[in-house]
Amino acid sequence: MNANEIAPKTNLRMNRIRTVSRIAKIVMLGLLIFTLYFPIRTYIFQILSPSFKRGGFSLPDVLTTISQIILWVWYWKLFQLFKLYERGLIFSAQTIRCIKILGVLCAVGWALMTLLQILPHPLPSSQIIQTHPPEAAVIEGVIVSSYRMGFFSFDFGTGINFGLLFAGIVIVLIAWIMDEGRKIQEEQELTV
Amino acid sequence: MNANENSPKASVRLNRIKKISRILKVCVLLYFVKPLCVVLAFKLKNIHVAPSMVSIFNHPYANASDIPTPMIVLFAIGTGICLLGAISFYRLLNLYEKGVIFSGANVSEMKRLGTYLAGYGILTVAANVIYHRQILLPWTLLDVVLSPWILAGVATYIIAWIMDEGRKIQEEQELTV
Repeated sequence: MNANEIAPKTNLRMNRIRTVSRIAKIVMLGLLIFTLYFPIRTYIFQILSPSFKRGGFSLPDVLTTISQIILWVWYWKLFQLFKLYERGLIFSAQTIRCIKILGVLCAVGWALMTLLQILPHPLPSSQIIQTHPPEAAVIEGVIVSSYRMGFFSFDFGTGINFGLLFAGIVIVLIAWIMDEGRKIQEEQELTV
Repeated sequence: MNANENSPKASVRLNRIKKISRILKVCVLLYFVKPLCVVLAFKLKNIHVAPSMVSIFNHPYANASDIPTPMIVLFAIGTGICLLGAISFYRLLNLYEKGVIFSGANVSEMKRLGTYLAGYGILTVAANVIYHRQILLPWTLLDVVLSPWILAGVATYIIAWIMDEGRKIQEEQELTV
């Protein structure tokens, strides 16, 4: 094949990759800023609210905040992934590491969400009224019996959705397979 | 680098890839077997939905008869998409098991997976619209933009496309004299 014909084709492909990666990067950054704005605004209003100072943060509040941070980190990692593609690093170790981190973040996000689901939820911390009489009945929780339609669910009857955990594990495993494939290719290229 | 040292290393890596792919394939098959066992064990005629709340696409209904027909249609399409997605994933694992890691076939399966994920996301947005019986702007638009299914599907499709272009670049460079 004529080398003069191949180089422009390669440049064309690289330019397409750069353009698409740049657009995807901007979209990810936009989503990150968008999802940052509303919670931060809400937290600022909560902190400035006079009733908040009496309550403080409860464990579910802390876990919710951490889950939100995990989501932001997830968007940031996707942004970095597309940045690597824009630089032309498509099958590199850095790219694959980025994909593995995305998978791990999915699993960590699942763990936090499951913990939130399991923990008993007190009244919102900013609304705790200290003058509440101790002998009054307190609703600790509501058990709702429900049936979720769908044969292909990921809760296996436990009430806990394992879908995000499986997605995280699958992403990490596929990234690992790609990494092994990359190492095989590199080793074969070095073979004389 | 000594070719004799490379081959065992490459074989070890390939064997590890084959083992992991095989385990994942078994997991996918078991995931399919579970609902089929439920159907066969209770026989299709005798399956009863418990007299309690029913949740479909995470929207609660007092009982199954309250579910509108469009929602049931969406549920059927969603189940079909889940099935197709699982088949695509199984085929991808098949390719990995054969040692085919960066081919055009792998990329096609990943693109299909991305399409199915995004498709499922669109169904959940449509289910929200049917449940609320109206398109609530800007919330419906936010549902589309922030839907994890749509985002994951589109990201998967784009990444698969980028990998395909990268693969073609590598092939073209290999042909360069």
